[in-house]
Amino acid sequence: MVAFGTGSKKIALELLVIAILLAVIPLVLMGNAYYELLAATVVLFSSMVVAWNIIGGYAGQLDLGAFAYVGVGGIITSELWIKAGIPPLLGIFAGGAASLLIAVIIGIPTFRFGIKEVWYALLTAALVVIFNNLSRVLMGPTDYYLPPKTGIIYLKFNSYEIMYAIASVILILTVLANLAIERSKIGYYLKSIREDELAAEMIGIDTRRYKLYALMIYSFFLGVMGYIYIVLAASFSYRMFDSSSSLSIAIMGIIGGLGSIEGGIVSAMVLRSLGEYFRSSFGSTVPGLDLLLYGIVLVIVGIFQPEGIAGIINRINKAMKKKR
Amino acid sequence: MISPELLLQNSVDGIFLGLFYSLVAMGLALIFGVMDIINFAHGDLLMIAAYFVWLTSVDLSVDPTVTALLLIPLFFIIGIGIFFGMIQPVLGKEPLIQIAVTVGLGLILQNIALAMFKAQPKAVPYSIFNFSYSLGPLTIYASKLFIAVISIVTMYALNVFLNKTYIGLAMRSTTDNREVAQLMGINTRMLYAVTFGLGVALIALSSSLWMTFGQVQPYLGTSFSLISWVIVAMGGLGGITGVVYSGLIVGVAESLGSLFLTPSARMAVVYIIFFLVLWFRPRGLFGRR
Amino acid sequence: MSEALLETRDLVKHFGGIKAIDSVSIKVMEGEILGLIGPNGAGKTTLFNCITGTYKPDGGKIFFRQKEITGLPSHEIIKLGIGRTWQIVRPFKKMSVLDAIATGSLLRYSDVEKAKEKAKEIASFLGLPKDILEKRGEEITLMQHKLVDLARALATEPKLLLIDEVGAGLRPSELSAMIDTLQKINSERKVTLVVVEHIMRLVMSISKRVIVMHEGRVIAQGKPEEVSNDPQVIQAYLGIKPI
Repeated sequence: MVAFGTGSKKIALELLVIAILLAVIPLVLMGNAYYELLAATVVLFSSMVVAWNIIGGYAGQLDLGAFAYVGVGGIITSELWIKAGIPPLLGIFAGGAASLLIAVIIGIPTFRFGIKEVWYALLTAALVVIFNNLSRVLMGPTDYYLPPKTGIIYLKFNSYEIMYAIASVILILTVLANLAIERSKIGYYLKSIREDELAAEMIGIDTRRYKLYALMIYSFFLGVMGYIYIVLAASFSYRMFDSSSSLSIAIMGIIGGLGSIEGGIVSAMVLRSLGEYFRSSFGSTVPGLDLLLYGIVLVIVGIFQPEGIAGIINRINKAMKKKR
Repeated sequence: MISPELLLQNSVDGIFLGLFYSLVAMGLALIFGVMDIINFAHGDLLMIAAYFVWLTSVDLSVDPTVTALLLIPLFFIIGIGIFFGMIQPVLGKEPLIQIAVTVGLGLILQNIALAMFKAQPKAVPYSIFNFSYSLGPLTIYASKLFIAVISIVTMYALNVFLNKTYIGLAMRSTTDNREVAQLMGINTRMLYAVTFGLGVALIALSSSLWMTFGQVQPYLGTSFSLISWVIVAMGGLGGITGVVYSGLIVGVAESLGSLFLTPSARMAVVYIIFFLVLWFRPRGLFGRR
Repeated sequence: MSEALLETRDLVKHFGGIKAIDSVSIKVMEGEILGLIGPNGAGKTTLFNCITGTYKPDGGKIFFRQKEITGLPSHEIIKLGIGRTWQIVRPFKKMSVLDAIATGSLLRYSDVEKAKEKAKEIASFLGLPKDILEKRGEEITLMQHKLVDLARALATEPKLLLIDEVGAGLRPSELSAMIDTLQKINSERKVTLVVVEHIMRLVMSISKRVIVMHEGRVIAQGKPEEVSNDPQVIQAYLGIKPI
């Protein structure tokens, strides 16, 4: 967690690195629509992993339900546009709020009754399946398409470059939210809950309340991202409530290192890009090579490098400090 | 309106399914109880075993029920191998690390299966239990009856094993109190390895039973993992009976859910029950956790 | 006699059929260091857990500064001014020592910088070397861990600190340092201490008053030298009837 030094210098540096990274990517990939779409998707995925870091990394709750919130937010935003004509630029906030509401309804009893660790993971994994099955009943098996209009008030463009820019803005906002949390009381409280919930309670922390805060912020961000996800995917259906995508978010967060923004971004960008590369190159002959890769990395990280990429960054930092 | 006959049929099917589910979950409950390992690859091991069954059936024309006799010792050894290779290094580590490693194992197994067998579901071409009885309005499939009977017999045998043999008693006392068990001189490392092997052997048996009527595809394991964990959560560590009752609840809920709602929403019913149980009976329905 | 800072009245807590605490009534006076002793399973830690709200008592009442706190959630009880530490340290392993202590300070000072300042002040008060402040919880020694746990609890600015077997696992020299530290916390920070301890040397040297528990009950209280000659106490510890 001391990857780029400390204090406000750290924030400036971190944002600079991310901004440069985001600016360089299109220079390399410019002109090829497939790569542009891929870049936008990877950046959006990174934002999801960074949002997951709030509940999973800081608060230490193994949430496997990301796409419950992505789905609710995205579908609500889209439906508001299709059915009520509310432009998505406003609608995403309603979508985020809808996800947040779900999080509150689920979170209050869950934390009230002390559900944690594996039981929390299972509960959130089950949440995705419940939404999947119920929306299948409500929406049918159909794919729904967004209106063909484009423009900033619809947050929808035919150019994937602009979609990439929108995803980048979302990533930067999510990173800023993480940094704000990390540097304030709530961040310290969440981390202490992750370390030892009883000890946290014994220094006066209302652990249920703070876990709920983390869940609310996380779900709101994912809800907002849901619509962008739909724009990139070009359609939506009940299949948005996808268990394995939800799992991937948590996997990338773990591989990145709990509580590490930069670790999360690196792991999401590398794994997701590699995964896409495998899928496009070998997808027809050896399907699932991307997920096989996640699996192998996950086992190696779990056994040999439990602190993930952040642990590696930390070690490099320490070595460099010694040299100086 | 749903006819009483249909309701009866689905309830009976649900009971058969539930007994099978309890058998699947039993290995998980045993492993989790004895060594506190959170195994998310449980269902994926079942999936792999099911492909073994399918292969022997297609290539060697061996009936699934016969394959079971070969698979049980084989998977016992595989289980012990997995224990020493992947589980022992994360024993006693944070739950998140254990989940990460076993999810990783699950993904590896799933995608190896996907690469080798592709996504189309496979079923065995022939099983000796491929017939059914009519009992008044009720149709009873021999394969389902068979797996229910084998599940009951196995769980009874397991009960005897846990209560009458030294290893079984050691497993039980370790579940109750790890420290005391260690003080009594139980070699926990070997006990863990044997328990894990036994849990995986039970999965191999389950897979053979499943293949007498079911299909296997690479993602079969995910739903079995989740269902097994739901059953363990509901059963608490209340021993075999807790697992059986919870399995029955899940089986019947799934079966009736697909009758009253639609088949595609049947798991929603199971998981909503799971939510309610976790919220209102956090220690499980049957005993402690 | 002054008012009690903390008082329990007929407190009862049972687990299954076992009464871990059986109508315990004690008073803790403001400013004192109270020793709480008794053999294993006497109910000392359970008593702490009831006071801090970790367990809900099955009967009886608890008052802190004349206000009833029975059944309040832990975080509210801590906020009123009670802190505790454990026999087995509970460090925040992946946080720096300074951040761990500062998390305690945040209860009274919402500003992180201010909380860190307070944390540094407490760390130097307890004599924690400066260079360990940036270390992570998993990188320091047991004695340092115990001091960090104490610092984290002190950072919440308690009026009353419940200390559970802080001497366990320490070497004799460390034990002497710990005794000095506890006395310093009491006299300079004006924190009332309840010290659960097995190590008699520690209790006897810092407590003016001792309460002895056995099988969930209070069996004796008074000055250390009186209590240690009490036949009931000797019986409880040695398990034999005095002649």
